[in-house]
Amino acid sequence: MATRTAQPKNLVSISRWRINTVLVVAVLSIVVVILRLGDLQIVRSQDLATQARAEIKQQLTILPSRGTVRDGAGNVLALDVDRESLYVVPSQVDQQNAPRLALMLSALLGKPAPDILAVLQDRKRAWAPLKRWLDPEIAKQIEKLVETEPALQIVYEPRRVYPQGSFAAQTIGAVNLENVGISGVEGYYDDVLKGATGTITAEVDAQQNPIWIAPQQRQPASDGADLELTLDPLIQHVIETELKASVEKHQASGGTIIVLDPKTGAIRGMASYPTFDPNHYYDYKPEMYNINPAVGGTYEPGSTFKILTIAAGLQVHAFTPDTTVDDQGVIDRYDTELANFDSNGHGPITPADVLKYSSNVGALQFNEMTGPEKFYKMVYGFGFGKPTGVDLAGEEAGIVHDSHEPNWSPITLDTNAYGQSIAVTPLQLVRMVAAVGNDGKLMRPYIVQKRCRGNLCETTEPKQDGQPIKPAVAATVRRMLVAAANHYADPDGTGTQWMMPGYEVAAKTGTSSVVENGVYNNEVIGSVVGLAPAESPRYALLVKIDHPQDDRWGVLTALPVYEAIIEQLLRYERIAPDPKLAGPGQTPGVAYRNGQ
Amino acid sequence: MAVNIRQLFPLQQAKVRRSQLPRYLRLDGGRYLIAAALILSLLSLISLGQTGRLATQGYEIAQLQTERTMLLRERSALQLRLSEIQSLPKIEQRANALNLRPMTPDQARYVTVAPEMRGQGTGDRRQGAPATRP
Repeated sequence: MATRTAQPKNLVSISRWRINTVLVVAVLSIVVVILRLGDLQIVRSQDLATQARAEIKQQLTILPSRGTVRDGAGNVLALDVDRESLYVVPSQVDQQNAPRLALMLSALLGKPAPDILAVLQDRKRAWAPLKRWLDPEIAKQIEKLVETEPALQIVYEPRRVYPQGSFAAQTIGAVNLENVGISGVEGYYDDVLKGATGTITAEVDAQQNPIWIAPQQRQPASDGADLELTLDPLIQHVIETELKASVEKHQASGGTIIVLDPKTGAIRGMASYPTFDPNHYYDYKPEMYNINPAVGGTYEPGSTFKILTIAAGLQVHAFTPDTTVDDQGVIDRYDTELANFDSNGHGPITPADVLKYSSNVGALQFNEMTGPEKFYKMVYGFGFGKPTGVDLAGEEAGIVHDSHEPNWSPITLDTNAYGQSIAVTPLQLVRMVAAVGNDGKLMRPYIVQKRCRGNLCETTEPKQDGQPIKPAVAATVRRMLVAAANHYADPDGTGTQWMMPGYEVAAKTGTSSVVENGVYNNEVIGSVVGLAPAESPRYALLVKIDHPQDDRWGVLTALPVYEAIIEQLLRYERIAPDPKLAGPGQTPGVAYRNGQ
Repeated sequence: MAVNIRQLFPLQQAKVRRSQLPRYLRLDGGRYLIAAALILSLLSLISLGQTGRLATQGYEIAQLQTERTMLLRERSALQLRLSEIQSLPKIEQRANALNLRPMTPDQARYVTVAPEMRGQGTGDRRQGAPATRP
């Protein structure tokens, strides 16, 4: 019987050295593990922890949305739209397949296949763009290709789009490829429109999504403010259409039209031609999209400046509306012969006649009565020689040579009287006329009437920059300008013809000579400024046509455009014509067509 | 010779074991360790569950944000399309295609509304409204 106390029959015998070997191997393994653990957990713990944090914890940028720009009626003129951009990771491109891929992409993207192939094979770059901001139709086709090609990546990027193309292009301006405003409203209000970038600092997963269990630091993005412009879309459309038609008809080099609200300074329309499409601004010369001729181009105003000459003299009581000077057509001053545009004299003429006949000789004599001190004080008082302060990028100040300048000559006072030897911007000139229409109050022009950030809106309040002339002087000058306007329809002075039958409108034309290399060349700039209607005017208007090829004086090019525009504006304003203000053969509401 | 004798009475043995149960519930030595391990495990489970729920909600938020982004993109695209359709040159094009023509100045007729009638009916605050010739 076997019991617990019985000795086993077969004893297992293990050699001592085997046991010791196994023991040593086990101990060594444990020592290696402990050493490795110590190395990772103690020696390199800081480095590894930093490396892990760098991989997992990232700062993600939250891009703000650029503000929308609308016109006065709420139509969108500029907005941000997310467009798909195609990028490639060259290191992941199958090089054997690269030529075929380049050919396929070339057909879709419209770029040469060799250029695309060069990008696909450039392994030095980790990430390269193939085409940014794809058209939606192209993007749909590319998406199908991206599904089969892992090296291709689609990224959404904001793109500034101008849905109305070249409509009010110089006024709105453009943004460059980095979404920075470079001209116009986009440039002036870039800080307001662009908003502020936000960030999220957090641990992220492989898809760059923040992991919410770890603490996060979040700085929200602030979208840009939306802007509402003072532009009236119908007025803008009318002036752009009329300007383009006139420039093309008369083969002019360009032109500008501005429509201003005299009471507030709001710019209702601002057009220049030739224009550009801000969606593809890079296809044009820089001077086209960088400069708005309405505020950035200067020129000699010519006879339109006589409005200031007369207003200044009346204001400082240098003469009265009944004062006369002798206009012989030509006059000598400082060994120089100065003459009227046609060298014809008109005998004794009043200030009103200076405007009616556009007499240079009369204007300079009245200006001599005013004197340089008072004259230049009035010039600066009307805002010339300095920027108007309009909220548009690239505004010029113009050039005024006043009597305090070291090289000033007294003949400058004479030539300034009829708008030569002085440089102004179109906006400065129309603002001067607007002040005449606003009882002498000079208003600061502005283009943005409202700024909104979310539901919080800020409206621009009209700002008065001065009162260069009294209301009585302004009223007197307006009467003179009405007579000057009707003179174009009634050169014989019968008093029965109206420039704009049914209405009293004010107008003054001007022919400016063009300076090239310090001397006048043969080219001219024809312009008209005026008010419609003359009393309580709704609009101050400037039409300027540059270098018409078939009009020696330029005036016959600009005047019909002015008439066509005010005819439409008065109808748009629903101001009924007065039948008493129309002569024989004239229809109330139908403009007299000068030059046609 | 040692002999292992066991009493073969299951019910009585169970009764004896039950009476000895409190002895097993006394916390001493290893039982402290087991209790602590159990409590720690419970707390870890609760924490794990909470973390998991938070992570899930975080992903749901991320998904909602993605949806929001897609909707905003769609909104911008629609706004763009609307702006293009509303542009005056496009309207002019469509009007011409429909054989509509701008009113000529001599076609305008002005109707002066008496002051007492203003503010009634049309609400046109201007002096008169142009009417075209029938």
